[in-house]
Amino acid sequence: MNMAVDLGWYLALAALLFCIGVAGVLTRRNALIIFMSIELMLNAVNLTFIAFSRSLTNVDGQVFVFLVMAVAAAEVAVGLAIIVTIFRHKETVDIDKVNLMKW
Amino acid sequence: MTFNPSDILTIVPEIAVVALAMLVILTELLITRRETVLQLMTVAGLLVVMALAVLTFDKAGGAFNGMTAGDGLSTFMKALLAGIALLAVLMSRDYLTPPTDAGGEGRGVRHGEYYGMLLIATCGMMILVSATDLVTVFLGIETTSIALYVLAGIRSERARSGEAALKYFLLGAFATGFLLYGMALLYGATGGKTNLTEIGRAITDLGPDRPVYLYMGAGLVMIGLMFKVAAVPFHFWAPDVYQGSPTPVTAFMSAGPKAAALTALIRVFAGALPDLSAAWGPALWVVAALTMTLGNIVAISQKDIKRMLAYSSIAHAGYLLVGALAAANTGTYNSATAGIMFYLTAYYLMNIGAFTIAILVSRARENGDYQIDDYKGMAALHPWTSAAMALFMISLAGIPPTAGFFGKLYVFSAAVKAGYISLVVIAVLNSALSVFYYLRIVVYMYMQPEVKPARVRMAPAMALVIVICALGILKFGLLPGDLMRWADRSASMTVKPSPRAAVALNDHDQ
Repeated sequence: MNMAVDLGWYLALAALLFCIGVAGVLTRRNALIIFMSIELMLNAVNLTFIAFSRSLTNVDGQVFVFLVMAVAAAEVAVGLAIIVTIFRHKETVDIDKVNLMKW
Repeated sequence: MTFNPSDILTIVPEIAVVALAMLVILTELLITRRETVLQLMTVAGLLVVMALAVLTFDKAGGAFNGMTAGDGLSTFMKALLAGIALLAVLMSRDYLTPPTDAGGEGRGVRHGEYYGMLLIATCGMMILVSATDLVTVFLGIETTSIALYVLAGIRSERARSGEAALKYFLLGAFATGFLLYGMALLYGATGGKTNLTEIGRAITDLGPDRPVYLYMGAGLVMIGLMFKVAAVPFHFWAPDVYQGSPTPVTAFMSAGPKAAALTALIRVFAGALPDLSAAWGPALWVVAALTMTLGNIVAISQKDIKRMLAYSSIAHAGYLLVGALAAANTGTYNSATAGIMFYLTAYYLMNIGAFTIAILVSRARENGDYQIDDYKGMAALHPWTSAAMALFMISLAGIPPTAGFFGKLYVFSAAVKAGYISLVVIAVLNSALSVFYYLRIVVYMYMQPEVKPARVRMAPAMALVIVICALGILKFGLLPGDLMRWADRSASMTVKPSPRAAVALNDHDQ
């Protein structure tokens, strides 16, 4: 396999993206931004799968990525509907203000 | 890689559940919106699914090139999951459309959609219990979770329901990210394997020089599964989500996904990662000990019965993890798995029974609250309902002669045989602690003066749920042999996870 860029770089990039996503989920307070950070984590996963798949010349990882993308799309549909419901009640999507029950 | 038509047989229950979901949704859309018709249809369909799950069992082997297993474990769990869905559907009677004198609130909810979502979640759990590949584990978890996010928020006119859905969704999707990253690293570390058994073999072939990201992958997968089981320290979503969700959904959520995720946990750790048990064994030990201790201690101080049952369900997840650790880590794969199956059956009956009575009691109150104080003096006015509630509490506490006692007995004795004596001591001490808050409700019902008289109005379907749960608990508490034999036989027909665990099966006592 003749790859221009070493596998380690792809993995490092994916790990960095994943950590940015985790940091976003933990520090941001807007439900939509948290949601975007989660999508970033999922895309870091996809990048990891693709990098391994290419370096191992095994297509299973690419198939997995398609499934992750399909599931992420379903999650977006449900998640945005839930966020809209919250907005109707509260007029805000700040998760610190969504606190009828203690976290 | 060939397609074998007989493989379809192993997923007949899943196909039937999805077909039923479509049928219910279309019936509501095209024919009738009456709750009784839709509910009877769903119940009848689930009975058929239960029968199919048992009847289509043919071989203890894999199907679809190792993607799923049609073995004893998955057959037992599929029948159990159909049973959980069945009682959850029955106990939802009148919940979505309270009688007109309660203001006709919740008119916007369509029953067909609600049952349909419940069935799709059931299908996802069925996929998860038979999953023997990372792909099917992931798809099973996500099919379950996405349907449950919708169910948690299905009473969108209530702020709490929406809040529960948001918290469940954000934290659930966050955990999915960890699970998937773990799967990606496992895939890479094992040279492109996704099948659990092949991963196990690849790790053995790696020998001592394992890449660091193999351990990271295993750890991340473990975090993802721990989240779904609601184990400490990944439990923080559970109390809020359980309290805010519609109560029938809470009952369903606390029994079904927990059962499915535990099964997946056993399959992943016993099947794919036996060689790493030195790393995850102690971690799982600590998680199990923390889960039951924290669940029980926090449950004591709760004033809301749904929240109390939520923490109690965290504690029960801890007891089950003791069994899962024994099942995954050692030679007692067989008897510990059977113990878990028995425990899950018992837990489902007592938990759904307790939640059903909680619905009835809260309905009798004007504000619809779930305060534990509402149970004071209930026995004088409702002797039968109180007796059933007392039975459920005694069973949850694990006192004989109830199914809850034998569930704990089987799980803990399997764990002792596997050598986890100090962990079982912690578990037994925790059971003693839990008696305090379970029996408090019994004391309130029988030995306290009544606060305010409340008429509990009971639909026949709700009464049926309580009777089934009570009879089941007594049956399995007095004569546990039948269920235990079935569980034992199912466990012994489980796909051998890996060469190492298969050898270990031989020193099982039966």
